[in-house]
Formats: sequence, structure tokens, C-alpha cells
Amino acid sequence: MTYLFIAYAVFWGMTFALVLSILARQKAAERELSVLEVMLNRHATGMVDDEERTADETRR
Amino acid sequence: MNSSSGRALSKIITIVTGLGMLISLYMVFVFAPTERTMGDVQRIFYFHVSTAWVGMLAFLVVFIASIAFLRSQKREWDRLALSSAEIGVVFMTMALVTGSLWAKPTWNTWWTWDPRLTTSAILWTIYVVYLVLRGAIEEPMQRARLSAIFGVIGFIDVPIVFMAIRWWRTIHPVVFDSEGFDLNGRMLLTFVVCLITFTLLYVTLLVQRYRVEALTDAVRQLKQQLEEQEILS
Repeated sequence: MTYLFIAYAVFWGMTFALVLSILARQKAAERELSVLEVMLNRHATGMVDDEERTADETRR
Repeated sequence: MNSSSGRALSKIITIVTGLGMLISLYMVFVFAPTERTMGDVQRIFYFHVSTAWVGMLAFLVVFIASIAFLRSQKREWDRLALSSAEIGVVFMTMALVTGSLWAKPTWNTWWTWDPRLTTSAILWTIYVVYLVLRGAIEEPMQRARLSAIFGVIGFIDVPIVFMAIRWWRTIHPVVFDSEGFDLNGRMLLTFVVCLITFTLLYVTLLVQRYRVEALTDAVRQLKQQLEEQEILS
């Protein structure tokens, strides 16, 4: 019975580890993608320049 | 197929897989009779063979995707090969571990250099090397090309693993041969349900793992675009 229990525990443990690893990598990639998209959009609409200008003025 | 219908289909497969797993567990522990000589430990067999089946199926997909990549040079095939190889290695590991856990009470040893066990261990090593090799090459197209060649050659061991118990003298049981399955009615039904469920589990995992690769590629492309426009240093 012990061997049976360990065998099924190994199966479920490894399956959950694989699923969690895939989901974590998916979430990380989605987050990174959305940050990069925001950067690209900001640049395309010239928002970066405006923000930089405002930051420069504030510093002065 | 558009992305929303694709996601709906993926959800349906995931739900069916979950239900299949519950049914499989019920059948393995309640529905299937206890084997006369091995007792309860024989119930390892249902998941052991199913994990080995998924491993081999995954490597078959690596083989097909690798050939398709070498013919078309399309990144999608490389993504599919990598995703399938990773799942294959995990399931082959499960098959080796659960097999060893079955061998100990049955053969009184954790491991023996039996043809089936040896060829399976070689198969596992081949695909671990495949994954390590991928991690060692920086340039994406070169990595994809070399991996594809490795994926095609590595597959040679899969039919050898399958035929090992038929070609050579072995202590590993033969589940089915030219005369059919060596299982009775309830055991056979449980075994078939497990095989179907595990195939669905493989498809579910493959879809999600492929998505990781597609997202990673999108991130890489966007980074390149931002670097070209000197937004990202």
C-alpha cells in the first residue's frame, strides 16, 4: 500500500508542479508584454517626451 | 479559429480532462478488481503505463514538429516541439519513478538493466539533453534548426522502447501483443479510460505550454522593436 501511495503522490506532485510552473511563466510573460506594449504606445503617441519634459521642468 | 473560440475550446478540454481524472481515479481504486498475485500495488500499472504513453506521444509530436520545422522554417513548429519535449520529459520521469515503485515490491529491486528499462532511461536522457542543448544556444533560428535535427534523430529510440519487450528476453510485462490485451474486462476498461484521460491531459498541458512560448516570442519581438527605436537600452 505504501508503494501505491508514493507512486500516486509522485504523479500528482509532478503534475501540479508542471501546471503551476506553466501558469507562472504565462503570467510573467503576459505582465512583461503589457509593460512593453505600454512603453511602445507611449512612445508612439509622444507621451514619453511630454512626461520627460514635465519631469525636467519640475527638477528645474 | 479565432482566439476567443480557441480559448473556449481549451476551457472545455480542461474541464473534460478534470472530469476524466476523477473518473479514472474512481475506476483505478474502486471499479478495477484487485489483482490476485500482486495485490493493490498492481493499481500503479494504470497510471504508470499512461504516463509512459504520454511521454512517447509527446516525443512523437516533437519528431513531427521537428520535421515540419526543417521543411518550413516556421517558428510555430519549433515552439510546438519545445513545448511537447518538456511535457514528454516530465511524463517520462513519472513513468520511470512509478515503474521503479512498482518493481520494488514485485521484482524485489528498484532497478534492473532490463531492455525495456534501459531503453526507457536512454530515451529520458536523450530528451533531457535536447532541453539542455536548447538552453545553450542563443541565436533562435540556429537553436531551432539544431534542436529539430536532434528531435528527429532522438525519436529513433521510441520504437526501440516500444519493441524492447517483444524483441528481447525481458521480465517487464507485455500488456498487449498480437493476441490482444492481457487484461480482463474491468481492468481493460479502466486502462482504456486512463489512456484517454491522459491523452486529454497531454493536450491541455500542450496548449498552455505552447501559449508560454508564443508569449515569450511576442516579448522578444517587442523588445527588439523597442531597442531598434532606442526606447529600451
